[in-house]
Amino acid sequence: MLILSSLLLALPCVIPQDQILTTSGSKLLGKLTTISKAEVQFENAAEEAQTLSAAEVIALHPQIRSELMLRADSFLAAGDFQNAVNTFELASSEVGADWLAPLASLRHGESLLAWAVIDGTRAAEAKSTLEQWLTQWPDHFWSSRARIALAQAQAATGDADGATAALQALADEAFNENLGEAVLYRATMARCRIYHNDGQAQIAESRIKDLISKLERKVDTRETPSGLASLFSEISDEARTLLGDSLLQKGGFSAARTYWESVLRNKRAGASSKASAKIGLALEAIDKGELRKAQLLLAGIIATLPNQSPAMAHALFVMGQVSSKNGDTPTPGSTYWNELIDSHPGSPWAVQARQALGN
Amino acid sequence: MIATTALLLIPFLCPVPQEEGGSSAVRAQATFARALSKDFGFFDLADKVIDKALSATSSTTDQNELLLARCDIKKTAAWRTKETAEKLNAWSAAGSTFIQFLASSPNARLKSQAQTGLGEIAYQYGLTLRDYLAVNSPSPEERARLIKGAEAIFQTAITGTNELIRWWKDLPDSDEKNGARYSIYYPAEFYRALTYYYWALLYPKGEPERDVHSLKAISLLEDFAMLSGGSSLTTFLAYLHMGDAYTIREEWDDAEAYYQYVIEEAVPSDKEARDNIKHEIERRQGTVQDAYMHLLDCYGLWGKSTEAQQLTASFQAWVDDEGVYLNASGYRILLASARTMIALGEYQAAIETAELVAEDNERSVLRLEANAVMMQAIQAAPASFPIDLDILFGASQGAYFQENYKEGLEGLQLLLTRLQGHRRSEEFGPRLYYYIGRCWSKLKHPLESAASHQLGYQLFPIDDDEFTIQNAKQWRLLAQKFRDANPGDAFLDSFYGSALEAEKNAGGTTPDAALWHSAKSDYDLAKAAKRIAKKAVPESKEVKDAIRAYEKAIRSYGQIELGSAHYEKALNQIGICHYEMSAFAPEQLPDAARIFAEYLEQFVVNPENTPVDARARKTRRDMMAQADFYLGRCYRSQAKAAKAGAWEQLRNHLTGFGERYPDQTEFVHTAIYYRLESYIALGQTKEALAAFDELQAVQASDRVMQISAFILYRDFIKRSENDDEPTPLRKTATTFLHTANALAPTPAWQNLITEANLHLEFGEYKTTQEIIERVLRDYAAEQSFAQGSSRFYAQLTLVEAYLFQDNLPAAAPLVDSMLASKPTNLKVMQAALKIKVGYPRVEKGRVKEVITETTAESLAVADEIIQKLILLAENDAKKADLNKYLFADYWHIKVMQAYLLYVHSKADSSFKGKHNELIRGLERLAPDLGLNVVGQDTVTLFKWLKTKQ
Repeated sequence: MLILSSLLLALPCVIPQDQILTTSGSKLLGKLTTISKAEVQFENAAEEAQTLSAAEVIALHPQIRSELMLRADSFLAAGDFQNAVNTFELASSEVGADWLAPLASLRHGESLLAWAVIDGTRAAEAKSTLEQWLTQWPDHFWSSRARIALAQAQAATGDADGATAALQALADEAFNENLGEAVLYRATMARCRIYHNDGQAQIAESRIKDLISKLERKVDTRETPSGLASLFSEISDEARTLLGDSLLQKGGFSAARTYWESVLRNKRAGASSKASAKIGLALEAIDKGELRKAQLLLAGIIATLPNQSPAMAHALFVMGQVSSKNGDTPTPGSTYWNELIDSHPGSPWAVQARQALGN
Repeated sequence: MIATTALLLIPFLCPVPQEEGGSSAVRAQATFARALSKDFGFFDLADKVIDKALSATSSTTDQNELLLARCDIKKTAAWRTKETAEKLNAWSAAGSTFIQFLASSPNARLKSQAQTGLGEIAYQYGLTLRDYLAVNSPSPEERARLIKGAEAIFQTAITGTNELIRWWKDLPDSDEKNGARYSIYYPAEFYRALTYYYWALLYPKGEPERDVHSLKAISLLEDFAMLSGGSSLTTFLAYLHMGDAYTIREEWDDAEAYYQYVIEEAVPSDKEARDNIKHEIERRQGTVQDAYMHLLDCYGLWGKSTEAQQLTASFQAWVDDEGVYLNASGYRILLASARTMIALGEYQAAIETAELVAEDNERSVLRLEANAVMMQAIQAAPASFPIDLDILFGASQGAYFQENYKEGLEGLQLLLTRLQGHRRSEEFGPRLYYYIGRCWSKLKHPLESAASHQLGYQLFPIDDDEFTIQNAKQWRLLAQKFRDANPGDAFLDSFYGSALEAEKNAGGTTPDAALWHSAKSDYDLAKAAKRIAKKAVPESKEVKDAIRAYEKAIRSYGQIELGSAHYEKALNQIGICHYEMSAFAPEQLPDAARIFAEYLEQFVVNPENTPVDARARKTRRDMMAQADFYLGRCYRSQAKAAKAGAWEQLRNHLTGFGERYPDQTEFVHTAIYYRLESYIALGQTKEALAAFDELQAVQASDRVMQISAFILYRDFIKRSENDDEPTPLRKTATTFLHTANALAPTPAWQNLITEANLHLEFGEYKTTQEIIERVLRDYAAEQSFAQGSSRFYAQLTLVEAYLFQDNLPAAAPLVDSMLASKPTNLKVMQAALKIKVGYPRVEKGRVKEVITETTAESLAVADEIIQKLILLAENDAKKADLNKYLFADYWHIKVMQAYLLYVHSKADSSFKGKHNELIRGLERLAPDLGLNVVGQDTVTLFKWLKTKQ
């Protein structure tokens, strides 16, 4: 059929380049030239030089052409940590745009950190890699990202106190030096998670509640730009999930149940935290021997949540468990585990699924 | 590119002379199998046709014909596959099949066909590989797997095309050679060149194979371009692919030059030149679009964004000026622009563009690509960005109707993330959940399906909304399946109850229909519980569960109100529940009877309850018959419990049942049987026999006839025990027992043996023999028969039957085996004696001698037996406190002893006259020779023996 030329007429039609996500919600395209802790410089589509303060930028997504980087990303997505780590390391020596080496090195450290979730012995290597990164690029735009990752690695080595202190320092710096609220709240969220992982349930609970409350107020405030508001909604949803986990850790199912039920009623809660709440209720049902109830709760998640949602991996794993316990009816547990391994191969839940399948 | 380059595929004829093919039958089967796959997509069936044909032939030619057809089936399957990764696997599988076929050294004709097919596959495989690598970055392992599969295909394809090229080159100049130039030679050259290009694609940048094969491709394409010459379409195709080969070598300038040449020259601007190629303008425009697309890709890899921008603008202008019909490349340029729109935040425009591509390419892989772009747009857009739900829902629903359930599901789930707070959430909510549920159902995940429909209903319970109703209905259907598969699961019971309530509230079903379903489910569960409780003791858990289940069913039926179409059925069912419960709780029986009686005597006759339509009238008729019948059953149960007057009540109630309900056949037949029972119980034999005849007249089922015959047998036997003339009664009993046994699908062996003994009683030895032989044969493995003494007695009866028919040879082996196992059994010994010696018997007043061949051994055994028998008889007489001469068995044995002596005398003269001595001795002690003890026959035998010398 004849093309609707109006579609093409309206089109500036550039090939996508580096992307800059701003706090105002816009996605700028251009060519990144200089990126630092304080500002981001780039050339726009008309090749005009532009500068943004770092506080105005939520994220940078350079257009990756490096085959090594692309391959490393696919290794990481597939849960092949060894190859991911090695390939990122190789990519960091490639010649290319100014951002290539720091990004590749940072991804190297982050992939070690991801590996450490499954193999705790990798935490020390992740820590030292990220420390080296910060030594090499202390004033880079991504230094706050590196510092958060470093704190996580530090906590994974057992030094939770050191990690939380480092994150507090980052949050203070973000506030004092105007690094942006994105940095501030990301650091705060990471700190809450470290408290929880360290078993400091009481502190975790109060910090998370405080964080959620602040973020909700921010989202409600008209002055909060839309890009930041989206980010805050995401972080607060993550925090809601973590709060449920902390309440479970602190008081068991009976303490967490009331909270989970409130999340399900909460209009602010996103799909991810609602899914986590349902998973929590399903775990409680399993604990009580109410396997059918658990199955139906989990089925509701699996049925309606997009596959790439963070809670999906967890839901698939638990569904596999409860279906196996229930005589593999109506769908065998192995079906869910195989689906989990296919769709979320790098997730810690996939590791457990492989073990459950005897692989 | 597929449309234009595929030109070269069409006239790919067999270059070698035709050889003898397979038989016409085999060729027909091969054609049929191909048609099944090509026309209908029935690949499995096509495979089965081939398998069957292969198993029926041993001819190599025939087999090869069929194997080649199998290769074509695989090729067709690959053509039909849509999704790129699957398509790649399908082409690989097809290629492997062809390679295997070629390795089997088929004849030249089939080989040529296979080579042609493989060439096509190699080409298609390469195209698909190119598409696959455009969007996927395979891991090293995956790439290694791809290489392994592809190399065999490419190598074999190249071998085939080389052969074709050699063949053509070797032809002398002739019409044949000229004719084959464009149909075989050019395509072979072209495919060979392209195969090297695709082969190069397999390897990542930097690998030597990539370099070697891409160079080879360029060289061959150059030669081909010169060969086809000038400005032919095939020349431009060659240049297009040379551009591709330079691209993968990252020789950007060269690539760009070739692409630009195609873009600028493939469709001439000069009018005269255009007129000359009018017949192929569209194909050339397609090639130009391909060149634009490939050059755009090239600029993307090269990093030339400005040039890319300019190129797209020029494409746009060219399309408008020329009025071009877009091909796949053209649409892909649109999708590329849509991706750019996404990057620029123009989400709605991206979606609209993708929708256009999807609508124009419903049945092709482009639709999947377009939907993927739409999903990218949704995912990229901020949560607050207004998305046109119609377009996106349409795409997802379209995927569902085209049976791409996974794809549909992804789209619907993504839409769901946009639903909260959307102004049209109520409009889309129910249908989104409905289709999500249906997708899960098609993907064989019933739990997820049920959960989706449940959520859909609970979140969007909109009055009179079609999808709200459907969600509730599907929820109920699935919940019912779960519940039925897991009886007694309290959670699933409750889940079902909620679903039923939802369906009721949604208005998708009438309340009473839903209640009827629910009550029927409860009744089915009660019956299941009753079956379990059948063998349990009273007051056991199983019995209590069964009673509770019936009580629940009664309550459920009780909820159906007057005015409902199910009311009368429900009333009856309540009565039936009470009746069935009475098996464990007899006090329920009067309630059951009362309910049926009230229905018949009060409800039915009340004018307010007159049925208003045909359906209701039918229900009335059926329910009246049922209630009438069940009331009879209640009386019967009471009669069996010995309630006074109950048999009369039953008889009177069921009299005329057939006239009242002539079309209720099953009830009528059983009602006659119940009447028969009552007649027997009341001693009304004539009426009972008349009822039996009535059953035969109405052609009642074998089952009813069988049990009727049996109860008549029992009645006649029982009466014969007290009758002075038992014989006629016993004969009648035998007839009925025979009928009952004949009608039983597997008659009880006990009944058969009883029948056999009755026949024996009446001298029907042959019938006795047949029945016992059947029992010994058919029930040999049945424990109750084999392990007890029944088998032994059955054998004895059989021996008797044989002996009464003078069939010593048949009896002998049986008797020998019985003697071996029970040597002291009286009847066995008696039988053995007869077998060994023979015997005389009286038949109609005359003596018949049953002779057998005797040996010294058999006579010795007989001597032994006779002594034992005499001793036994004397002992038994003593035990009975009788003089032996007054003991029947003693005289029977004495006759045999005399006969034995007579038989001895025939072989041994020293025994001469001994039998007479014995008889004379007996006469001295008992002159009547036992006449008053054993009857005339024995005396006749003695007298006969006396005449023997």
